[in-house]
Amino acid sequence: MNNNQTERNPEDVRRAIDSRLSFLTPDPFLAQKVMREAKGETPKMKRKMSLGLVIALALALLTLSVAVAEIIRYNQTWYFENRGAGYANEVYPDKVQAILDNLTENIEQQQTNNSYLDVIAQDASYVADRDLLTFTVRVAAREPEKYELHDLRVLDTDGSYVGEGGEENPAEDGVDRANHWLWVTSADMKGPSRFGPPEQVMNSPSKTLLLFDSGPVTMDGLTFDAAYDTFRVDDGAVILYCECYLNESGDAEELKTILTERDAVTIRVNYRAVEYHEGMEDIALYQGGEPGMVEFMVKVK
Amino acid sequence: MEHVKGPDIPMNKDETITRLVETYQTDLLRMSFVYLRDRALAEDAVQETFVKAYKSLDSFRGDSSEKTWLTRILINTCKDTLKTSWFRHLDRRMTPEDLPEPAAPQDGDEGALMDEILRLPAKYKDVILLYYYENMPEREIADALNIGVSTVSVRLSKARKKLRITLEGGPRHE
Repeated sequence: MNNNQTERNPEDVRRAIDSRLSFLTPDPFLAQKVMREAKGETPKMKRKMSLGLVIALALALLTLSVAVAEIIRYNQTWYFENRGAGYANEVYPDKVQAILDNLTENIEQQQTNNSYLDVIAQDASYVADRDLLTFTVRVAAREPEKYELHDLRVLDTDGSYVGEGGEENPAEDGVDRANHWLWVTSADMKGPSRFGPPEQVMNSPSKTLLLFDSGPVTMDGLTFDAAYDTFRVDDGAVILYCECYLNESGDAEELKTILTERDAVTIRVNYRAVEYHEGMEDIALYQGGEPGMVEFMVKVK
Repeated sequence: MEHVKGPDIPMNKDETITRLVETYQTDLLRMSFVYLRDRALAEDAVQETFVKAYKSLDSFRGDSSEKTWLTRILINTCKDTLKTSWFRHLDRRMTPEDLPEPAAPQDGDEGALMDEILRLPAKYKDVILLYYYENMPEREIADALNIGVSTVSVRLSKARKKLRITLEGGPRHE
């Protein structure tokens, strides 16, 4: 009896659906989305405040605004005036101007609970006539006293083979190495770059190296083709600047249809947080760790 | 399979909808995908289902189980989606061959069975999904689809023949 003639058990139906559709994973934010959508615009609560409370609040806001003014925001505006100044002024001035003209800050967002990282989308820009979406994400370790955070992309940036048979003490870039190297640039690219075994490059070698690894940028399950730049800033956070190109994405037609039809879209960035330990298995380094996700709204009209 | 009648709906709608989403989201998403064969549309339909459920929680009397109630909303939502001119104009549905490979190795016949389910006419797909995947008794299926119990029986019988499913060992219904 061949396969086409085999009788099936009722349990086979459930097993087949569960197995074949296992790629459909639940959305951890669904309940929140449902409640928000069901409730519509939630009116702000009107609170009665005493004069004393109003004065205290005003003073607190004044203090806060002074403090905020002193903090550098490593957003796209900063990026193109500093780290990406050459790119902005000499290579693609029109493109960068278009990005800045369409920039949205204070964007609505939500993130999964990740015990290692706090991931905040800072700003985003959609330039329709260039089929381009850009954004920055600020990633911070939840326990900065315990972890030193870097982006996984700065590990072995030179692309050298790392593993058995590599040099124990390589003297120059590009030599096959037995151990991973960390490559660190200054945020504004004006300072020197450092590279070498993590314990020699980290600011605080006594801390555990924590790596942030972002996955593909998606919208409605469709994936953008994207390019990244990443750097570490003074307070230990990692900034990720991302450019997504619609025309070069495999899902270009579908992505464009969605972007044309809607006023705003939700962009999702999946990521992993991985503790680095010398000699750890590649599978743990490149596929392990704790996953997380941040979703944010981008106005496209 | 136990079907709970008259579910305990607490007054807090947010808590209730959170529980319903946690309990039924995965099953509804898979059902929705079998109907629409498009991940994004399936996710949208599930979200819309829960939004509708949230809005009508107060009027839910517990005449059917929560699962039957949600399934009925989902099926109607999926059918509405299939009717829209946008969907008809832009048919980007996955064929069985387009489905991502399962994470775990799959029995050869499981894949074939899934393909056959996806290709079933809608009226047979309805009853197969509800009976074998959602473990709903024929009476509840009739309720969910707004058709007669005898119609459910006939469709189930024909769908079984198409999929060559034996009667033995099926889900136990009260």
